[in-house]
Amino acid sequence: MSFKTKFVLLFILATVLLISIETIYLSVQDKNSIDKRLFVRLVTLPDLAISNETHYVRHRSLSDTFSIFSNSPTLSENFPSTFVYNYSEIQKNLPSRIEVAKQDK
Amino acid sequence: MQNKINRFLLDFSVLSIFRRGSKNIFIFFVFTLLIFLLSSILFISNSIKSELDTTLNELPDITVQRLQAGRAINMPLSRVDRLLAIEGVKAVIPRVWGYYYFANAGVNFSVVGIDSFEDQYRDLYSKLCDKFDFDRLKKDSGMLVGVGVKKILQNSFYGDYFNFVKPDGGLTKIKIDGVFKGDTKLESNDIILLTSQKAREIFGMNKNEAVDFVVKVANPTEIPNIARKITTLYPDSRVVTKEDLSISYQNLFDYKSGLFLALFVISAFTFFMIIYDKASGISSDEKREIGILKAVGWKIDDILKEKFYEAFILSFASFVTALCLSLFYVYFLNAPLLKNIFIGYSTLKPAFDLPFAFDFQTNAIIFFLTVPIYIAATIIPSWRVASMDADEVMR
Repeated sequence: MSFKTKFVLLFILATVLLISIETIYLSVQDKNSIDKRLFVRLVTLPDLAISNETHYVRHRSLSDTFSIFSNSPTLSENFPSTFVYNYSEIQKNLPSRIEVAKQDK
Repeated sequence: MQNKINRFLLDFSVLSIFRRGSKNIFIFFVFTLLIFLLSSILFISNSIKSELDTTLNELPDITVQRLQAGRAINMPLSRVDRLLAIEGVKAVIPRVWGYYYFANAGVNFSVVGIDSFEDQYRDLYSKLCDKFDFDRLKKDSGMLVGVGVKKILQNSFYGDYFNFVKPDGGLTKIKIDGVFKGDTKLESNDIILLTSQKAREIFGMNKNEAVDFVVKVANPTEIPNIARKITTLYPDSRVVTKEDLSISYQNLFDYKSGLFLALFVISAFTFFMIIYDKASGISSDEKREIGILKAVGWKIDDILKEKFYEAFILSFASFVTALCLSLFYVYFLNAPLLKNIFIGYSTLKPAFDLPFAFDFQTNAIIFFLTVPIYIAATIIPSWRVASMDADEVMR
């Protein structure tokens, strides 16, 4: 086997080994999930404080598709986090299909 | 013994990769970057999802809100008795919570009221807070705040108390008696916990009103039934069960539009550019090489095997490198830049650590979408050339 082949195979092997070490190291770390659970039991509110720019993202599970319209029916979503998070589907109300009809000339 | 790896062929493939060094390095680089980007974003989203799932079981069985004209409004406390009368309901707890907009910093705090700071939960509060004196909290009827809230208030020179502006223009001064531990930052960052009496004062709410009700059910299998009964009893209520919350958590990310669509489209286009380059026919150099190999006696089988090794080594090396890098980037460096996509505009940015969640399925999907396709895109054109006559190819 040439030096280059050995180098390539060793590189792949080392990377796979590194992935395993990373995975093992990360999975044995204490996640303190007990504290988190106790906190949620105390506060009783769902969802994470990861993005709190709008109510329907901060507590999205307690909102519905129409929460965005609570201020005005013509308001459009203007927060980047709505680009990432889905609207909550638990109320099973699909986005409304009201369309503005074209005026006849 | 036929299936044994032919190490001479392997040697030849590796040398062949290095022979076309600059092109292959470029492919390796783009391929690695592509898989790195894709897996990093999926790792972050998986972590956020797993963080939600750890606390799912602690959430209330049923939450009842009241809607009027499509908006959630306050619940009259008079409804508690009728809800308690439903068979199977163990307890109905009115909640007072809401958002307080702190104009000075332009942030929304989540204010949560609890009945009172009771002695029986002394240990619980001490466990959740750093450097904390329960007796002082009880005496002051003060508040506990998240790390983010504490920081924002400190920037506005509110060291150990905060003046809430009431709807009537008056002020309510409340002492900050504790800060929630940094471990719970993802849950507690924007939370202010105080007594519901104070919360009512801040929101200007009546004593006989609550924001919503939490219903505890003795037998979990009865939850859907009781939820249905509540809707029948009060048709204006929005009933959210634990099952609904679980579904909501499942659908946290919209993989069909928004960020993920943009990501998948970009990834697919980049990837197919590489594939197109490979599949659109191989260069005359490579053709001649295959011709010569055939002329010196290689079988089509050997040529395809050699090409398979070549493609597999290149794509698999890219895949594992990308995976290793993205694990390091997301979980050790905490995903700088990319994390901001998930945080959005919020001024109250939590500096949280992403919990580790290794999702085998996601990695398998990325693997099967990239490596086998790349191998196929290398082998098929080679097979086309290899099946021609040697002299025709070399000419």
